[in-house]
Amino acid sequence: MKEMFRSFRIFTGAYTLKNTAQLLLTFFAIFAAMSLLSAVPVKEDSFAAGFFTSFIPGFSMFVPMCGAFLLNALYSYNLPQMQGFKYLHSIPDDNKAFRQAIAAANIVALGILLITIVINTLLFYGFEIGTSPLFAVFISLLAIGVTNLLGCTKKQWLRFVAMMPLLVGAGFAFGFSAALQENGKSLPDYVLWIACGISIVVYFAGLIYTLNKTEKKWRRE
Amino acid sequence: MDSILTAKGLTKKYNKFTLGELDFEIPKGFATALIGANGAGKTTLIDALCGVIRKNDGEVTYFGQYKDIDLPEVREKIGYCASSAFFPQGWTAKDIAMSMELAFKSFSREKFRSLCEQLDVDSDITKKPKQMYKQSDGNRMRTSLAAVFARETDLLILDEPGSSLDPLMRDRLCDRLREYLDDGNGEKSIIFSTHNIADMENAADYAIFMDKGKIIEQGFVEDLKEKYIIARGAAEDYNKVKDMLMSHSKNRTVFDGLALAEKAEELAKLGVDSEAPTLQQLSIGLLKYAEETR
Repeated sequence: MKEMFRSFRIFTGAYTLKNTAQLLLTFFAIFAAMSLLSAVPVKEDSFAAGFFTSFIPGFSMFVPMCGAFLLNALYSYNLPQMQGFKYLHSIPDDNKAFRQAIAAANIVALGILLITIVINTLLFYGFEIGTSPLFAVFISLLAIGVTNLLGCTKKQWLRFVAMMPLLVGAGFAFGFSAALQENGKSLPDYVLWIACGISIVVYFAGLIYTLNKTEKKWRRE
Repeated sequence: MDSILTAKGLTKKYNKFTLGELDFEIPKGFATALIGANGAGKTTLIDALCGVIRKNDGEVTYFGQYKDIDLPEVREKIGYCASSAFFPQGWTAKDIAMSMELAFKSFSREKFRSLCEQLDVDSDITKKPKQMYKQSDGNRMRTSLAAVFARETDLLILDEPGSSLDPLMRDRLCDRLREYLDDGNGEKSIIFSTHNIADMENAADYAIFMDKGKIIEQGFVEDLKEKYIIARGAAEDYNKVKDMLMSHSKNRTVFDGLALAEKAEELAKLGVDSEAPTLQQLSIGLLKYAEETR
């Protein structure tokens, strides 16, 4: 574990770590502010209550995707046109270090997801946040899995094209679910559970693929 | 000649460009300049030597014994620095110091700080260090050079180290390179590439000239200056001597050209003076000759 995070710091310096931490603290501060606001009389206001209960789930789906963005940033160092490519390809045991850094980034990504779900659930217990934690799991694990599967592709556009539907799809899926609820209907629970199951499979497929192939993919050209 | 690095049949192929097959030796204890025009293959060669790109064929022997650039002990001994875009663009000097301290055993933060101060760039203790993308090319290059000099190495491989630097800084760089060699007592060596040898002339002991992926000439600079001459004469005398010149430049009144030193007597009989070339003149002459005879 120590070696993994050592390699992670070789690839990120203090920059990415600091920026990721700042971003997460900002998000969690927003969550906390929302929960405080929701506890005051504004809770009686249906508009405000509706705003919080619809904003929070969307927001809480976006936060864990930061883990996928972090992973994506690491994979991008394998593109020759990226600044840093030559430095990182010239360090001792560069391929092993990259594999370890990717493994560490996956742990960080999973950690962000878990923390988001816990905070989301604890802060907004009693609110109608509905299935937003499950949405967060579904979207994030899928994003991380896809990033791992496509991370070492030379075609950067492919990664972008794969990620866009996930970014857009989260909002679409949640909006669709909210619209159903408006009409007194709802998605059957099993739909979301199946989706989560698929995303877990994609996540593990991506993880196994990257841990087995990354070292070889790092050294190419 | 003791060699720090030997290459046999080194080849790297791209769609529209092939480097090689190259055979050369880099002498130990000296600074070798890779000289060539843009697109000659200098960067490709350097990247292949440092393991940043994979060669397609050939063998390279490092430090007289290692044949694999991927060995950690080989990479520890080589101080490699590419262009000013060497480190990730979002990094500051602090990030560079953190990463290099973890990646390389011999990296010294103290030395890095001191070099940054000498080169007048941000160090890792600067209160608000600037990210690389916010700095000028010259500052980025100086920071990258400070990072590579802050390690204990036996071979420096620098790709166009002078290209982003002002003339004063290039002069200081030449001094620093000479210090590096002197401190090594014949055990340390340098390879650097340049397409503008004029400002780095004092730094080069050995030169390898490249054109379109091939080596067209190589040797110790002093030996090359004895092998070739620059012939200079009146324009009306040009036609008499043009067959003896490898390359030339001419205007209405005078001409000058590169020739083999053995032609000096013959040229003198025709009233054409000759003298030993500078490395700059040698570079231009040889590269022109290569271009005209392709």
